Amino acid sequence: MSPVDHTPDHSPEPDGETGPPTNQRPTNQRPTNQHPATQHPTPRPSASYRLLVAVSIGIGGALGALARVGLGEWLGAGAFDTRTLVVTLAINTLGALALGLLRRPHVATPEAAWYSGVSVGFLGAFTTWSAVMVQLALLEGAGSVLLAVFYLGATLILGLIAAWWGLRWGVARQGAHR
Amino acid sequence: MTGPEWLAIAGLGALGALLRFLLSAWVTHYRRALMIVVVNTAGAFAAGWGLAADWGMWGTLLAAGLWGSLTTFSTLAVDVVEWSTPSSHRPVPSRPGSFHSGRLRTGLTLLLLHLVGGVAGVWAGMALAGLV
Repeated sequence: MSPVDHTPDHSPEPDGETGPPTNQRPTNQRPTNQHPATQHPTPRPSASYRLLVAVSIGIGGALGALARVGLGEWLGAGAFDTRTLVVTLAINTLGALALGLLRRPHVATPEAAWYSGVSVGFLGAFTTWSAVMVQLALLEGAGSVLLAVFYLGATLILGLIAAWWGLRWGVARQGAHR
Repeated sequence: MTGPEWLAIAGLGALGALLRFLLSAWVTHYRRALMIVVVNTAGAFAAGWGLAADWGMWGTLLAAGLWGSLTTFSTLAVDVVEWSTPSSHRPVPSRPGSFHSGRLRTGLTLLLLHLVGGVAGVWAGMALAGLV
């Protein structure tokens, strides 16, 4: 059975964050519960547009990785010390807030390629999940299980609150009220 | 850190972001949120492997550049919140700003998938590095 069959009816739609913000769905997908007002067809993105999206995501990803590592270096975070945990926590919380604030309705605009560069590229690369998992493993290996649990809890709680606050007050909400 | 190392992080960061984008766009019939779970789990696995295998400077550069950029926390957080609450810009038959128990359950399941995938991934990577 296709995985599509298992998706919930009210699941969020993939939006401009992960690809060209076109409302046209591939023919192998079933219709969704998208509002009829937003279902008007748009032309398939051109090759040059998709290239622009890829380039902007690449540039954003490079800058995001550099910003994450640079911030750690600038704040003097060592390989795996407590300061590294704080820096990663701050980066992830800030990134979740920024993505929540920038998340926007599924509409096609000329700036969409650069939006993908900022959201998928920069913010996606700026924040990280693998580092959190590696830091957890190191803490557990060093016998600091309580600190590991606290660190994971703080990452999730602060990140989810930041994302919720960003979505509540960000572009998406403003767009919906326009 | 030297100039070439910064360049390597930039290049690997770009590669990680593009891989994440291509993976989520490539498997179009999967929900994007589930692909982010797969990507985050794979990145955690690779990072765990690199950590245990001790690849020296390349291990550090790959962890900071490629695996750090391939995996993402911001999308994880925003996805979990969006799956837990009625979205303000997506028409869903529910009261705006309120938590719906069904949606909350879906959001928590997504969060649990990320957690289990990440922890299992990093531990599996470390274990495999020990075996190889």
